Amino acid sequence: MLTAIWLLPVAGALAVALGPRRAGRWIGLIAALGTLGLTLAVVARFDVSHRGYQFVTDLVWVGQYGISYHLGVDGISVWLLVLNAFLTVIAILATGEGVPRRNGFIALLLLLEAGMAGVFEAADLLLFYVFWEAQLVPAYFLLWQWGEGPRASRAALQFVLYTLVGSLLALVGVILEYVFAGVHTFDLATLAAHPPADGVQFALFFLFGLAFAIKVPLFPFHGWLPQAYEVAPAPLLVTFAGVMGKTGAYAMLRILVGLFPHPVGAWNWDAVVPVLAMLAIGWGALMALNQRDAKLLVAYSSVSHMGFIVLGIFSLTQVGQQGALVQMVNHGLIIAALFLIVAWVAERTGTRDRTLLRYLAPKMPVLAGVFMIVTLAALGLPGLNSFVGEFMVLLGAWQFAPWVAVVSALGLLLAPVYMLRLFQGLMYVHHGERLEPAHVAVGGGPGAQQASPVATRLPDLRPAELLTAVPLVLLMFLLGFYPNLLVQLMNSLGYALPVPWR
Amino acid sequence: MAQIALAVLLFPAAGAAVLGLGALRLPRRAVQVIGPGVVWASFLLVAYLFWHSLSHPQPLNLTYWTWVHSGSFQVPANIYLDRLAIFMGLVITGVGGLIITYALGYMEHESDASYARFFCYMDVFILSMLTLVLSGNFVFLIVGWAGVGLSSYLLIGFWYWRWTAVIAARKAFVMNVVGDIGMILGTFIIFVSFHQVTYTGVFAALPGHDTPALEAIAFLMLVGGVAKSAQLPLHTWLPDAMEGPTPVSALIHAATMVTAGVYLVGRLHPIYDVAHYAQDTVAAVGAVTALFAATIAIVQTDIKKVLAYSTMSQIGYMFLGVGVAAYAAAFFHLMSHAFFKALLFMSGGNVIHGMKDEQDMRRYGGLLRQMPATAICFLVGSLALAGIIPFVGFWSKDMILGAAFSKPAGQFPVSMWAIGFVTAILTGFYTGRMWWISFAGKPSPDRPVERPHEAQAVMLVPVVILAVLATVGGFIQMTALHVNVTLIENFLAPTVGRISWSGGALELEVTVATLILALAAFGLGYLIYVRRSLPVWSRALPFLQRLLEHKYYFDELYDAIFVQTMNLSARGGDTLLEEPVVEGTPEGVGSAASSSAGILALAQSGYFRTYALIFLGGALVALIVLVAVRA
Repeated sequence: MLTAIWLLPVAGALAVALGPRRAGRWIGLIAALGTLGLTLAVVARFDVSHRGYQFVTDLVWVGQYGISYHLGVDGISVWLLVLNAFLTVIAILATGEGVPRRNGFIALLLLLEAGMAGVFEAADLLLFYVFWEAQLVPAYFLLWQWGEGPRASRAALQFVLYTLVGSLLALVGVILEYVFAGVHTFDLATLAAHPPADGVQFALFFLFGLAFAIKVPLFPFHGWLPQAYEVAPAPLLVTFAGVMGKTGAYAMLRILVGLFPHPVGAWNWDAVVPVLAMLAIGWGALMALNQRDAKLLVAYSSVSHMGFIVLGIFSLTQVGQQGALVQMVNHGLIIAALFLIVAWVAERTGTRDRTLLRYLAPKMPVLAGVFMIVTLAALGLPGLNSFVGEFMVLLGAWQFAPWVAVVSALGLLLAPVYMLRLFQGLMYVHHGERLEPAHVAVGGGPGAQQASPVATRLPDLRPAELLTAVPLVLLMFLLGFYPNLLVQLMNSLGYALPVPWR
Repeated sequence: MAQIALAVLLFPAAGAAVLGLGALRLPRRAVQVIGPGVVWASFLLVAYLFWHSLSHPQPLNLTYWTWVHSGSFQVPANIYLDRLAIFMGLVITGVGGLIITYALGYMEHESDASYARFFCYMDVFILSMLTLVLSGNFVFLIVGWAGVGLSSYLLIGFWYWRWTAVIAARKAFVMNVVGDIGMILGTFIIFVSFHQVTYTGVFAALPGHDTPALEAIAFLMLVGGVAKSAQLPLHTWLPDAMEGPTPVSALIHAATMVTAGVYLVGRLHPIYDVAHYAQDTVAAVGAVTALFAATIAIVQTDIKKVLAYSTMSQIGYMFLGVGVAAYAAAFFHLMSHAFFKALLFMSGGNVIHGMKDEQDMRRYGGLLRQMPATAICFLVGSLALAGIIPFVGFWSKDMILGAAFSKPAGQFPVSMWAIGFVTAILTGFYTGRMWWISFAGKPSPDRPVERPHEAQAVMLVPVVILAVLATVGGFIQMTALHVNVTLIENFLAPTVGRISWSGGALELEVTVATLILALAAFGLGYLIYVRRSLPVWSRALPFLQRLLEHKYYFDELYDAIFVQTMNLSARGGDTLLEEPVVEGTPEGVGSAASSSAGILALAQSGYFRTYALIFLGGALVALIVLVAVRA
């Protein structure tokens, strides 16, 4: 079953690439929906009282080195698999006529999904590394070939350079772990049961930590992110920003925390990482304040939100780590919706500069309503989904060190400032203006006509666009009111973490 | 009972959902039915709960589903239904229902979509406020708390074609988030101390708990209360909030939302009763804010601004009340203030509506003749606000002052009383000034409408109902004059207890003195602003007038300290650190490398080949190392 979850998208990708040109999007959509169905079947049959991995496939691959094709899911990975499959469906739905060479794009999206699914499923360290690298290839091609603007190839290159540095470090780490753990296997559960000596753990923590920190990305390793997000087309960002960063955060929880419970050398990394996460929260928010490009603003808000996720993982408390997992799902939904909205606005008006855009609400009331709910979710409004994760993460951080939680809570204060700047700036009037109300709301009134600086006619959300936005918004409400839907499955672990989950 | 309590919330939730989804399609008639209808439905249910609680005073803890269960962190979605919650529910849905009905007329000039949007937001507000008071745990308290802040943002910024409204909305939201964060951190300490977050669990675990943690909890919760109730120093959003339509000002910024801080202290009174420093701080913040706001109200010329500052001031009285543990008195004043302040805002709204949105009362004058019913209703509200017998404000405010005056707890309560006493006289003065300038004397030559008409029925009937309530409402609790009618205190006794001390004869004399001085101050306005037989005081003190007109320069101060710092550090961080260092690093390394060694020049010759090469190279290195290790 788990093999099918990553193999079906691969098959779908082949079918899209080789099949009839006109049916490409439909084939891709069917493959993605099929994968989503499979992941939901996993959820339905998931046994929360089980100890160890579930739905296991374990075949000897290279017996001599203890490498096996070992797949499994547990409470950490189960929802990330669903998120990956779900957002891929959304991404394909969002791939409209405007995307050039559409079939190739969809095929690569499916390959990306396959790679990320494999990362979440691998229960063998070497297999994990193979998938980890595999997800990079489609991501690179998508950025390079479909990136927008003159800086696309440079951004793609920068992305690859950054991640390659991390990958090579991780590869060295994989080998050293094999050597020093002394159990001659790459099986994650076995390795977790036999951690190497403290000093070795410290070195390995450093190697893996850097690789994962670049992927997340964690401050100050986020240099690739603004440019990559700036050039990436919106349908790609749905999974690129929505899921890929989570593979890094997932690996932090699965491998850093799970395999190296005591990484104490020159520094205590358990204390360093939360401080970096705290800085990421503040720095991302601060940078978001200074952006005119709506897409970059959202990109930096992502840096801030990913900081919350890392903070939760390294609070080393159950509530913080489960909060981080909840937040991974929430952030995936929110960031996907935000990038789609920015793209819809940019497509209609021809610009993403928030200082040029204004007073769009009367012309696009439906988009304004969707945007408002997504904005509120993004700034962590209690009652919507993001609040749940942030609350749990900060509660964990408080138990780790109250001052870290207090400083990180500043991120909650800056989020409404930059998010409302964005939302109000695009939808409402600007500094010092006072217009006559638009009496005819649909299509805009007399005030709306004269207020339009860029385009004269701005269509509201089309049905196809609504189809992608509505599921995201519904989930924001659902997870805000019933987050236990996610949390209740999390206590079944593939192998025990240093802080037990009960 | 569980279903009924939940239905209280579901009605406004359903109303908001229908109006929000159907804003572009629904006919106006449907909006007029749904918008206020769901609130009145909730009111009927709360009334039933009230009737039920008369015979069953014990609180109910109703659990619906598990919100989160993560290790020891367990949060149920539950309702704590006690008499305090029911009391608040009655005020919210009752006064709220009247105001929303009134808004049917006030908002008639809006387009259909705007009209539906307005009532959607109003229902969101009622839903949030009911969530706040019905919640049975601290997390849902925060959910309701933030929902109320959200509604406030939505409604202040309702006329989003005005920049002033847009920025006022954002200010309100951010200031409220400051309070939310205080409450979130307070909840953390609660969880760390008690390992649970439900009211029943926490209060049961209270006895014998160490006080420093409780003080910390009480102070952090107070941050939330101060922000929501616009007390010093988080008050600057409330006057700006008058950018919203007047029914919003009536509902949110007078009658209900801003009293949430009072509810909070009352709800957490088992904590505040032990945390004495925090409790004294509540009283001091309330008393100082009451005086502070009253002084500013004296120089305001915008009728809504006068009412806004009077709201701050009156909530200061309520804080004073809960701060000296006279809970019943504070909640009595909360109810009475809801009556007379909603009355003032709505009759003031009738004037604004009739005068083509003019809010400067110097351009009214002599409205008593054209709008007699509104003028009389406004007078009733003014006298209640000024604390004149027999109107409801007299009974409630003087109950708070009397309790502070005679509380046997050293100098502190008496000094708080003294501030409240001065404030009461100032209140008489500015209220009088407002009424005399607007309604008495000769019509102003600058009136935008020569002969304004009296308001239509849908806007007049709720006003008259509130005027009646403001007139007779005080007779249910006459402790202020030592008459033994204590219905409010009786009703709330199972929840917040009775006021344990009683005043002597001196308290009675002081109350009468307060009444006479406030009445005199009210009359003084006639001599200054109508007869003009006395000079205007500010001519003699221009410096003081400027200080008051700039509201003690709080806005300028906050802008310089917080907003400028934030923007400067964002800009500086971006240009000095983010762009050159964080984003520049790999490029810098890359260009250095390609110019010197030319390693990365490869990369420019063909991305895919390079990538494949590096990937293979990496794998090769891995293989070699592996083999080497084995050997």
